[in-house]
Amino acid sequence: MSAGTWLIGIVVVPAVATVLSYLFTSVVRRVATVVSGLATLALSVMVAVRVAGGGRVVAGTLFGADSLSGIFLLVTAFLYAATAIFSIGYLGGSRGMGELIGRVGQVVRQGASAGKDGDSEEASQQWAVSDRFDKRFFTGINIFCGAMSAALILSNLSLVWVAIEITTVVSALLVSLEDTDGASEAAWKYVIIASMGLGLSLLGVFVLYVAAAPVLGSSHALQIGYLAHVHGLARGTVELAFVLAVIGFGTKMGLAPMHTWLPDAHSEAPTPVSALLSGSLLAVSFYAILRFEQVTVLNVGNVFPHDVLLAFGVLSLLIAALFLLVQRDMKRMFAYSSVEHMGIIAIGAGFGVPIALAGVMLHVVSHGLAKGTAFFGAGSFKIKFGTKDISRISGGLTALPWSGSLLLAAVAALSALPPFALFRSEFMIVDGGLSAGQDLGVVVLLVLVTVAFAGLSWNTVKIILSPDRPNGPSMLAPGSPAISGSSGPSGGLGTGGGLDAGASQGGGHDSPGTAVSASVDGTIPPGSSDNSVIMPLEVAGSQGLCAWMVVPMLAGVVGLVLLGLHPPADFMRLVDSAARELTGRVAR
Amino acid sequence: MAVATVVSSPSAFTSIVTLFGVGVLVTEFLMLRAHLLRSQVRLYMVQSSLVAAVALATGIEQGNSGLYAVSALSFIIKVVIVPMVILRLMRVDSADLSQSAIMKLPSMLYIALVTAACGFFIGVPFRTASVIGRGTATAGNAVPIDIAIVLVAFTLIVLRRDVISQVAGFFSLENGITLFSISVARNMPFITDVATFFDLLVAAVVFGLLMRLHHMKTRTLSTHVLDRLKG
Repeated sequence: MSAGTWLIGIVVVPAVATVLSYLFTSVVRRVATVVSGLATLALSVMVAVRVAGGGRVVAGTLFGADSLSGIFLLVTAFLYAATAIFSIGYLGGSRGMGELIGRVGQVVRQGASAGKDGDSEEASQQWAVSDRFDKRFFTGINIFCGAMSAALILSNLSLVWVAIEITTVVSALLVSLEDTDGASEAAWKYVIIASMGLGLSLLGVFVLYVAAAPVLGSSHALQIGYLAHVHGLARGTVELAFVLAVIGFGTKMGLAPMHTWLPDAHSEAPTPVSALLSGSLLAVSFYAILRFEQVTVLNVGNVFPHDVLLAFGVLSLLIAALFLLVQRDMKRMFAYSSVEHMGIIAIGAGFGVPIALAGVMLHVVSHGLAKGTAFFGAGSFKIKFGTKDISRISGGLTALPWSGSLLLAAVAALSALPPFALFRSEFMIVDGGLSAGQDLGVVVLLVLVTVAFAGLSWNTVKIILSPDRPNGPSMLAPGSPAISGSSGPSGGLGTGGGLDAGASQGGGHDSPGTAVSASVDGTIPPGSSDNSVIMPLEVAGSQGLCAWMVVPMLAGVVGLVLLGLHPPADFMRLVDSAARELTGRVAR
Repeated sequence: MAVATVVSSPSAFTSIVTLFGVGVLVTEFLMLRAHLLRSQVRLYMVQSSLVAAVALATGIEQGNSGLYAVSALSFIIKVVIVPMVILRLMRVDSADLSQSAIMKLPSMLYIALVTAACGFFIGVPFRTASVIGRGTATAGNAVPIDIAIVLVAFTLIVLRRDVISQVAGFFSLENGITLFSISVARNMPFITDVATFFDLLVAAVVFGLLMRLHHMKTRTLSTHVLDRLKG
């Protein structure tokens, strides 16, 4: 199989999973999504290894990848696979089979028991709503990840824009999926603000075309492979295109002051979607900016693009650091942490020297791993405690020993503590800043990162390490209503058990499929009434489900340690090659 | 044939493109004061028809068959399908949007005028930067108007706080960018146009679904109520 075929596979595999998810049952959806995620990851690794030493893999004129694409492909594909696996636990792995059998049980019982028509009908409706949610979720996840992967390997800049715009509209629907007032509000703000930004970036694409067409010709003017090495474009036009791209794609990347949609969307989306938005989508938008930066550096010089990126980076870091100090919502806190890290990445790119750019590349991958893990942990806590409110959560490590420990590790990584990879990447960025003579920028970076560290670590310590308050709201009682207003996946599906003992206690609220609520020992909680017929099946299924939620977190933390202590040689070659691409020093 | 004769003259062609561009700008000003969903959608249809006409005229003048296709796709998708999707998803024809403005109409029009003037001056350098068809009377002359259209679309989104007007603003923004691309990037690969239209179609469906969700949740089309998420 040729390398070009791998690129086509990266687009085709999620497309097939999308069709399967839409057409078939929940079991098929899960299998298709996990297989697709893992296959995409395998293909991405193969592409990344192939381009690690430089050069470009192409499939016709439509698809192509270089080392820069390889870096972003790795993080996107990893999060695709991790999210697919986590979602099985998050949505309830036994939902498909368990609920189907349970539904049959209801129907059988209906024949034996008079006066239960209403209950049976209600259970049937719940099953239908649950199945609809399930179908939309997995179909949407596959389209979303497929579009992000496509954006990274499309050869034409205008098609990259189209793919990124598709990620916007699909992810807006995913954000609204839980059907709460907050989700609806967040989705609307997100789609309007991000679309306005992307409108500007489309203008930037056309302006770049105006600059490049006289030199490269109409058919090659927006081909990334040509743009990455072109000289002699009109300076003013390229500068305008770059600014439009930074503002436009920067809106999606979460750069301040265009970041306002980000905390809302990330906090209100279903947790697996939050992980993808934060770890992957922001990076994909940054990838688009880097493609413009390549052209700008070659034709305008270093100073202008680097100053623009530095300005946006410092502002983003400043705002995020201040807001991190006052956050009371766990997912919102991680959302602001994303703004912080996008600021660090922009500053690193603004330093512009090879060591800093290599640090930026490493930071993109490490942030994806750490933020995915952090959001997965936040999702587990939300299920366990029925809230995202930091002040109402305590004793996390006792309640969720695995998820709590891994969440703590993820936060330590996000705070750039050794031995995690973000320590290494931030060290490289600081080193680059000093070698570029940007002493003031380095000082600002270090001060603001320290402020952000204080906010993030203080809140996390409160959640995880503080003792459980005896009379606090803490954990949900078995069968108790959970996550008010949420009609999504979380509570009541027995997503815990197994590793994190007790995590399956998520109460039955009004969500689809929440007929299921029982304690880990299988006792039937009060108020479960007629739905008890399906409970043993669900609880039995839930005992092992926790592994679905813990394994992706464990993989993320292992990856962070590995990249921090001893990154694979091929990976570092890829990082160096991508940095050289950005400085225009790549060997041909 | 008559059209071809008329637009074959550079000055006539320039006049037609400029006239249609101004027409698009005028529809945006009318959108600022439209009070009903159906009015906004009709204005968008008129605006999109003018965009399709510009693409057709430019295609004839340049002998560019790709622009014929762009014109046809513009008409089918923007004048027929997108309005149909929006109206089918939002069955609230009589909803009054007049309260959604954040300031009085004269103030809004004044701001929009200033914005349009700024856009015009920003776009003037592009008249000489237009590279496709350089040396002829090209649609590049319309670039200042195109930029003005883009900026006024932003003011529409900002100044009207209802979901209908914001979506109309976004689609107007897209129309302005389409005009810009016709002016300066008319020889772009056709696949780009097709992909962009497909994207627009998807966006229309998603915007429609989210508008309907918003209306179901809040019983209003206003975005004033979207104030739960802060900080």
